[in-house]
Amino acid sequence: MSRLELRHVRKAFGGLDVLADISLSVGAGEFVSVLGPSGAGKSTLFQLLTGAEHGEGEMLFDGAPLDDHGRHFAFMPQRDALMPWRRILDNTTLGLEVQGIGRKAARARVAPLFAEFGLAGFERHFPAQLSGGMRQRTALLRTVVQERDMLLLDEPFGALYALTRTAMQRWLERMWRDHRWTALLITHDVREAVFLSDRIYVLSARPARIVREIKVPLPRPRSLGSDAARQASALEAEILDIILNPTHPKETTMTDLTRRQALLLTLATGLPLFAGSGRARAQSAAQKVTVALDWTVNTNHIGLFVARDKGFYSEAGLEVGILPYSDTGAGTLVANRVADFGINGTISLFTQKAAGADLKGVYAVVQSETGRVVFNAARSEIKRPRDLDGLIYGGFGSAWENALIGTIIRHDGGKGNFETVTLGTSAYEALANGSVDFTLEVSTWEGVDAELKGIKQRSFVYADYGVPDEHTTLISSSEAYLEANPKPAAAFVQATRRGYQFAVDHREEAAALLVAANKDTLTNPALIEASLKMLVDGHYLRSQSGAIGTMDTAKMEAIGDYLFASGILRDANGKVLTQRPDFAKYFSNSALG
Amino acid sequence: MSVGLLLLAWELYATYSGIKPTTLPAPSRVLAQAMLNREALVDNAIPTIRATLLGFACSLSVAFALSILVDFFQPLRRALFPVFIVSQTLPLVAIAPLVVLWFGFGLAPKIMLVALVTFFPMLVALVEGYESTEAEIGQMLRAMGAGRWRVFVLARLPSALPYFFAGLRISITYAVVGAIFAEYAGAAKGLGIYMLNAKNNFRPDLVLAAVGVSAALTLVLFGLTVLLQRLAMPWEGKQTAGKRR
Repeated sequence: MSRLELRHVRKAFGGLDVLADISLSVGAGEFVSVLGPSGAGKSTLFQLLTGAEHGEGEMLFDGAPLDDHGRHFAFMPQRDALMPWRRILDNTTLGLEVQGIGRKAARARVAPLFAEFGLAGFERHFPAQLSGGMRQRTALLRTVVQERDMLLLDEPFGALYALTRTAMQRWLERMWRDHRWTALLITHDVREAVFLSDRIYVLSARPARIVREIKVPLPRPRSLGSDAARQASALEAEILDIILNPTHPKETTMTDLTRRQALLLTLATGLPLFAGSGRARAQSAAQKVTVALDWTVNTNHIGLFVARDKGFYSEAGLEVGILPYSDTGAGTLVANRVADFGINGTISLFTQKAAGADLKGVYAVVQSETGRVVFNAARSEIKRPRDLDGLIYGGFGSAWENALIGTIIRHDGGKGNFETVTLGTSAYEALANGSVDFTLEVSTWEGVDAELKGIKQRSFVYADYGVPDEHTTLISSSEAYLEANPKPAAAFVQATRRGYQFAVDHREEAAALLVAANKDTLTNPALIEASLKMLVDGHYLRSQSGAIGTMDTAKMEAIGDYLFASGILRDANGKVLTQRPDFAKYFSNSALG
Repeated sequence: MSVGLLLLAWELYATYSGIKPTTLPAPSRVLAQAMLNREALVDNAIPTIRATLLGFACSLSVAFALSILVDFFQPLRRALFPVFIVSQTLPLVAIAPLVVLWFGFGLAPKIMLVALVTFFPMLVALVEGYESTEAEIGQMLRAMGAGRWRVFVLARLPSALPYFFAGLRISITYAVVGAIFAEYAGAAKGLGIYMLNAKNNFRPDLVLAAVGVSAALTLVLFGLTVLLQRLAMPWEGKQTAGKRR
């Protein structure tokens, strides 16, 4: 009366026959082994039984086709497959938990078996703390406690030391006698098969078929008594002979192909993750105005902070938010309506506007050019701009710089050839330590800093060498904002002018106010004071004729013409403008009232 | 020890080479200035910490959810991974100002950038962690009658823990750098903008002080992940002699 019966079971993986024709049976309370060389497909047989793979042929359990695989078998894999993160007790209850038995009930069922399995006292240990033999006993306990009809043991002791393995085989034989489990063991160890089994099926090399069925007539308990040992040895020899001299023509190959499947990370085409939905700005209430800065807070911004903190803006009915300085250009923020106003330079206003950005200059922060070409005073060989030919320029990455320096050098009779390395603000350190020969600086900021530090510098002023004067720094807005909000725009510009006016008239108070408003940022008050002094005394904030904030039309047109003639103005597609734009549309003094 | 020697060499060089403090400030000066400006530093470190943690929490949740999806539907992996890989190749320098343009100066763009740089390492760590599950454990669980979800919860998820923590340790360091970079592109407060402002005010000592704060921050977060791992994986490091093999 057999419980499990396989009839002509076959299995192929991708055209490769692994199991050719397997027929076998296991009776109730019988211990049966399947013995074969490595790579013969023994593990595939278990995969079919546990339902992990599907093959051809008939598989019957108690005479009925095998469908619900999990119900009949308790499977013990080759390695102990203990979960390292579970304590021994929780490892043994795993099968019960999967069956849906509560943790408490499961533990109650497992607990009495710990002593029998030699695991008493180790319930709270983790698997890594146990010896190999104990781990295997844990694995077997986990298997048998499931109380399934039949045990499937896949080379359970293959990973153990020889001595431990022998001890475990004896222990398993004794346990089996006590419990009389119906068991199917897969092994390649002839001695193990003979020692444990009632019957042995000998498998050929791949494709596996059953080449012999051998009954093991040895009495139980299996011992090492001389008679039994001699009998066992004879049997082992016979089986070895069958395996090593196969009638089957194919030679045994020692591969492990069927057991492991490599998982490859493959990549192909994909779907986009996020649909980009960029919403720019929070809706501003009528009286709220935002202004973006072009750089770290500095003395150029003084009018904004004075107007804000002296209450000029609130007197004008405005709530002005000065946006934090960012790496993103203020012109870009304004044109994209992230900010209503932005501090930017004439040069960037003209280049961005030419490329189609919605910008319009509304206020001149400075009345004349604050930039200049600088080099270390010790460079006595640099006497005039044409001496800069062939030297290294530490630059900031704009087309304007090259045109500017080229013009200055050529105006002085030089060729206008110089080498550029783009460094950003690191240019000043580079100049100080001599790794570049010259750079551009804002005289009212870097120039003041150098002076405070006692760094000796000499400079050339652009306007002396054929470059038109300009309002280096402006406040710009967008046409869209100005049209939609004419009143707040005018209020903002005029209150801002009050702020700058105040800074000119009360220099020290304004400087203190700026530092107080930006404690984290302006860590060098002496620099602020000196810089503001220069801005005022140099008539940058208020021109000699008394203009504050007004953009000089002739100046604006002249710098526009220069940029156009130098091929710096490009359209949205990057093509150099061939038609002179109407620069009158680039700025307007109308908000100044 | 090695750090100490390096600092000592730096201090000696800065003191005796005649190099200007504006070019290379001595560590002692950096420390003194850091103490003087500690309120500002702390004030600016808080938004950075907030952006780091929130961004990281976001990327972690999304990576976790997606890792499960990908584990269950393998074709999804082939479909999605190229996008994620591309997301890792986006240069922050280019993307950060755009994100500021789209989402403003608030917390959102910082969270997004931190999430962007940390998301992929976490996803890969989790997915590979699931794959690292011992084949025998999966086979055994299926033989016990466990379905895919049970196998995932009982075996694949815990198997991924070491990978998860490895990914966490790498990502948390990226996260701080990502937050600082996002601030560089535009922020009201934060270590990134503090560094930028200090630089523009010719204060390399304060730049370095902020660098020190960010380094300390990274180390603390790194330490926390190690601590978390100890708590979450009590079985690690509990090994006795007599292991098998």
